[in-house]
Amino acid sequence: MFGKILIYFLFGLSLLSALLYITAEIKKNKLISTFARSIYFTIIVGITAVSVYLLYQIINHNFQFTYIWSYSSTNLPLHLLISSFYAGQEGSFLLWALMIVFIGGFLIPYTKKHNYEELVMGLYSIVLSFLFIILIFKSPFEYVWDSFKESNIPIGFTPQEGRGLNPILQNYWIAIHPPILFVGYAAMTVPYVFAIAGLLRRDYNRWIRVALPWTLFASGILGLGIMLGGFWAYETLGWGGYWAWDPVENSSLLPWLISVTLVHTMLVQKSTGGLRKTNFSLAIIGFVLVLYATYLTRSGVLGDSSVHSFVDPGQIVNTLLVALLSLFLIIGIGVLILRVKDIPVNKTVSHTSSKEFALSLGSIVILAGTIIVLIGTSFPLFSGILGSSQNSIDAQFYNVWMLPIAILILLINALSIYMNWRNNRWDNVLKKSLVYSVISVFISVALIFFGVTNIQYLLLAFASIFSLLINLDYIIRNIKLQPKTLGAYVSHLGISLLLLGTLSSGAYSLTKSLVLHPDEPQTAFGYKFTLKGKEQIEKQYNDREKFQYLIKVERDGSSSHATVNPIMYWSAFNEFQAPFFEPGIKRYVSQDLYIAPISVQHEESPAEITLKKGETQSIPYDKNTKITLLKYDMSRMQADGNQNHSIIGAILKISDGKNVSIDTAYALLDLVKQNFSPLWLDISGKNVKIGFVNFVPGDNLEQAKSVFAFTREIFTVEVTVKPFINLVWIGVIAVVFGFFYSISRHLNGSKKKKKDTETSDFAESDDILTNRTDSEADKN
Amino acid sequence: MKLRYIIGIILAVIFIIIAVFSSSFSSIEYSNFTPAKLNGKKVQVKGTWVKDMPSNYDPSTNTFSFYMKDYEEKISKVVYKGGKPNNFEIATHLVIKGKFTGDEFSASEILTKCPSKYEGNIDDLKKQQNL
Repeated sequence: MFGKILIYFLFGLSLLSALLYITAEIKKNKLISTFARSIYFTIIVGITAVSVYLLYQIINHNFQFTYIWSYSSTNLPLHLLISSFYAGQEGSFLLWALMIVFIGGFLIPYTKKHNYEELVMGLYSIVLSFLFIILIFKSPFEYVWDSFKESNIPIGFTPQEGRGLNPILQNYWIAIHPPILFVGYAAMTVPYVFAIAGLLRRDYNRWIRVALPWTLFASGILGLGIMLGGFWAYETLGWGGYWAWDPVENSSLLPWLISVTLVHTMLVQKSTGGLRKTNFSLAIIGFVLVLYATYLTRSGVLGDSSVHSFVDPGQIVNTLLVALLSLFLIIGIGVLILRVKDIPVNKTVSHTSSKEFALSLGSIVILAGTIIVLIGTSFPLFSGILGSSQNSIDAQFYNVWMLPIAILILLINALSIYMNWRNNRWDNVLKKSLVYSVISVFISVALIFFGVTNIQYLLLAFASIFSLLINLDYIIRNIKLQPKTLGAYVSHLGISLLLLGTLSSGAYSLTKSLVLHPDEPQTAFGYKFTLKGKEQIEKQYNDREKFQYLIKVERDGSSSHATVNPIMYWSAFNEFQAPFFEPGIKRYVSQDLYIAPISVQHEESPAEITLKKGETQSIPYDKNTKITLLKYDMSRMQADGNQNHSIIGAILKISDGKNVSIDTAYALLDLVKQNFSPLWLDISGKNVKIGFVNFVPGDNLEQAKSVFAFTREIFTVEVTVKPFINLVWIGVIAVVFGFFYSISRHLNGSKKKKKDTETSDFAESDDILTNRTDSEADKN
Repeated sequence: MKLRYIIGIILAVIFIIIAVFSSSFSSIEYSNFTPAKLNGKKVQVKGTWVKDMPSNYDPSTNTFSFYMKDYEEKISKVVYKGGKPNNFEIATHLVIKGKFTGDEFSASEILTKCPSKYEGNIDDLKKQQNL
């Protein structure tokens, strides 16, 4: 009851906080504001208490709670137990609320300093209260007897064991990726509330300075979250790639794209005073897209279009999510319309070679990309509403559109570096970019000889290299002069590396499936692959049988070799019915060798040996391992009560010189059909199974002969060479780093502007700073 | 100023119309075996695996073949380029994407939709209650 009551309590507190803060804003009353602040701090304490309470119940396996019973079990290690906090919808809503509350804790001193606390925190608390409504309907603290009312479970019943965490989630990535993504989602709330607050206060300029560091933070952290998801998919889920234009991936990409656009358009407004309405609109859309992403991924509407599994959370939560989305969209648009006549329009016309023009154009292109992703992701939803069936979209749709968009973004970025704010010097821009365009053309032409013949790919390569060189040049020239301004350039450098990496690892990867028989080498792409056996791992858990295969990889003409370990495992989670896979990856500097398991089969013609009682022989395939037939187990001859069947066992001693084990190989004897079918037994530590395949009776059991067959596994894998995939990771890291790095610079910028009056036009001083930056670049 | 806005809006609308059109060209419709065989287009078909008909992975061609029954109760052989997908045996239904080549449906993608047991259901709980 404690958890549930606390959530109701938190809902009440967030409403109270909203009410008090807004009253404080209207009445300009510092006392009420102080009171509201203390209410907010109570929310921080309260939600921490709820989360700690849930965590405590999870760690102590209190399966009375449906949520805990559904997503955890007693055999999970601590880090996975902690992660099962947000393995389901209820917990992930709680995590989201927790992140929003915590970010609010940082927002209070920040907004107080910028004289925005009352309005911003008031609006922020309204958002929060809606999350608590969801948590009331979708509570992680529901008891099993309430969840399954129709089956009359006695009150107070505690299941002995939970259902456990889906094995594919049992990985350290689950401890990292979701929390970071939720920080990103939560951070997207901040530009939204700043935009609404700015509109309400008729502050059409200063809010940009206050909100910019948060928009940078949201872009950085959301980008990091998305990237880690891609890396997780690549490294352990074995989906083959890091990005598949899956609706779930896309839905987190949408708010990120808007956030990135917003950073650029905010910079334009900061320097020239333009794009005021655009910035309000984008801040509103960004947050609404976070809600849209939540709706898409939680409501089950995309159930048949995604590799992710969805669970319908029920009609109430579905309706609530749609209501939430509509409400915050309507509030945003409503307030914007209310003020639209009042927002001053920037009369100056920007020249085509000015920095603001390039940034605006770049933003339009990113927005075009966002619309493409939005259309593609929403397609099944709308075709489901309009037509009878949920049609899905081919990934090709995204590739076709995003390729020219990427090329444009790179070119605009590269040229914009040579442009100045409110300037019109095309000749200057062209003159400066000439050298690098020539170099890039040369490199691109050289690429033709390396097999890059597709004209679109060549253009992308050219644009990436062009942007890469110009950004790199700028960074090198300015690293000593003004290291603080370089964040943006590092991010853009990252984008060009990322797109180069995507091109090489995506369009030029090579795939081949190999059937690996034990110790028989197979070659592909200049490598030699040999199956050397398998070993069981994670033996301490009895809920799984997990094997790593040992594949020896040798590079042609190289004496060194490596072992790659793809993994195949069976789990109690699906009652050992079907295996799960994990790829093995060998990383080289210039490429990854990605080995994904496909299937395991047995050799069709096994080797056989015949033994009498007491005899010993070496097993085929391994002369060092000997088996001895100790005696027969006839105790299960009539075991299953079926007159036509009989089970016979051979008790064997298996010794490989070091370890001795005793095991029984059983066979099922069909007395009617006269056939003998072995129950294959693994010889531990070896890729050999033993089967009791025939029994030839003699005068007595001592004389009887038994035939044992030995079969080994054939492992089929898909080998993929992914050239220069490291560029993707380096690129994304640079992008994310650039965002975080830029925060401090703009944090200082916003501090300095503290004394701005709300109606002031764009600030000159920051302009001077930016212009100086550029003019110094000019001198170089 | 006004003119600039109008041009901008017109361009945006044109872009969106083209994008929506292009998306409908890349759309993969839900269909059943009978119409899919007739028109030969790339479609997706929802259905269930027919467990008592042969299914087999052939390593030499890296194909997995099985029989699927669509929602019109029509059964067809499906040949998938790749190994047996994760959770194939326990999936409550399958969504396959591809097109017919002759009498076989060549699938390029298989989505396996897992039963609600993945989310915990009452049967599991009842089992424990009886223990």
